[in-house]
Amino acid sequence: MQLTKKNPLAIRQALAFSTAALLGHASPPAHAADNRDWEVDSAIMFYQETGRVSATEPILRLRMDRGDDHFLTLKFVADTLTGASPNGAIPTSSAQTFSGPSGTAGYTTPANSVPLDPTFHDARYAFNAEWEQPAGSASKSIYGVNFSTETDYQSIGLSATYNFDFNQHDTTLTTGIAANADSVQPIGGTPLGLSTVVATPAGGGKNEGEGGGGEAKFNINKHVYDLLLGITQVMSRQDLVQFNINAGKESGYLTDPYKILSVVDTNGALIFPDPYVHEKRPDNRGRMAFYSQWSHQFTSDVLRLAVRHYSDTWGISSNTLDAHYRLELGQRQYLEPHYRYYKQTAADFYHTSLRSSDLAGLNYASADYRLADMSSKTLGLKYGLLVGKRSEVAIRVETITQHARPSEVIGVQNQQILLPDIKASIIQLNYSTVF
Amino acid sequence: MSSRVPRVLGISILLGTLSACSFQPVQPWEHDLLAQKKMQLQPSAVDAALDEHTYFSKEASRGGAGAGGGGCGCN
Repeated sequence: MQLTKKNPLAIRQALAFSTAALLGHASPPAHAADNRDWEVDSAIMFYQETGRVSATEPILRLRMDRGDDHFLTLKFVADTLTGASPNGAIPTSSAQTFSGPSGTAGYTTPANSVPLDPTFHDARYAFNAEWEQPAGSASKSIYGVNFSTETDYQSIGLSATYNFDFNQHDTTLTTGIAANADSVQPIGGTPLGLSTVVATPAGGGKNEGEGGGGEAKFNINKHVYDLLLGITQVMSRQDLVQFNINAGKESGYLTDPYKILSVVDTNGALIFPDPYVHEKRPDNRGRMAFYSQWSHQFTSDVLRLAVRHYSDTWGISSNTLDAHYRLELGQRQYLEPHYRYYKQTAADFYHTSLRSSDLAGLNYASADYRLADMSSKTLGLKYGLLVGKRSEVAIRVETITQHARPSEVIGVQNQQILLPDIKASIIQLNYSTVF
Repeated sequence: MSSRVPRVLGISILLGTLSACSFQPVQPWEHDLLAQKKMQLQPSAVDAALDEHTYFSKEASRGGAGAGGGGCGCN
């Protein structure tokens, strides 16, 4: 959209849009100023971890101009997961047998292999709607509702955002709140945290992995609240900068009911006859994120650089660098390399394995590698092609490599690779149009 | 890669933002480049949504660019 002096409303609108990344709000269509445009954004993502989980995730987003600066945005996402997921136990020199999540299924992990639950599969469907309207001559409000459902998890949420422009629309202040009420129904019931995992013979029952149709014994809740304050500033004709502070609070059942920990002796070997316990996380989590982004246009190419510092009351602290460079190839094509680097410290209660002598004194423990000292690197490339005047197709290819470090390597565990690197590939197809 | 790099970049961007008042205002008719879709903070809403979901399910951190956006049992 090329804005001119004759279209000040569109200028204000475009700038306001540019500041509205809050609460997941998206950027405007290229022709947002046109009357009653409908913008369609769609994509399908194929995600594959080497030897582990794969996912197929289609997404459709419709943004409808309802006139007089009123917009309705609808978003639908489906997410189908299959494959094997780490259960939290460590690899050992002998084969290991585990119960399935339902307590009736079982599987065996070969010696010297990371235990993966092969029964992992689920489908998630999510819907989001947002209503945007002016709130005075220089501000706007955005109200959102979202809903998602999985076999064992439902979520409903509300959000509200207020944007205020001043300084000739060069500056926008943003404030937003969001609240989610989630409900968890673990397959096979809610395990008691840090209790012994009841053994089930491998293949000894009907295999009912997550999403496999097992009946939940309990319905437990989780609440998530977010507050966001932000400022977006036009620095020059070619530079836009945003800074956000995001505070969040989570409470309720924050444990992963399907994750377990290995219990070991002083030499790092499994304790028998009860070598595993269920994980347990605190039922509260406070978090804070500081986020900043800079967009700069060169002659025609665009650099987008974002950084984030995050910390929470679980002891996790992280830094993220995210960089995109859009390289224009003439008027109708572009290439966009992407680099992302992420590094986090471990949660206070992360343990790769537990010494049996320490178990009695623990309040919380998890061996989920996502709570470990970890780094993640993403390399990606997107190719986009403009079709006609108002449509675009694109393909995006990315690789993600995660490297987690054990909290401790005890005795004979030094003969194992406790946390091998995880490699994932992403292929994504996009189509967008305005009509 | 040192974790200081993101912090230094973040602080630099923050200071730049806070010192924006000392800049010459950019007139509305000079917002032509900023109004282009590729100059938006999130040029592709669906890319951003997919990325957010992927990293939320693979890492322990969340939030910053936005908040909320729907729950998920994936983490």
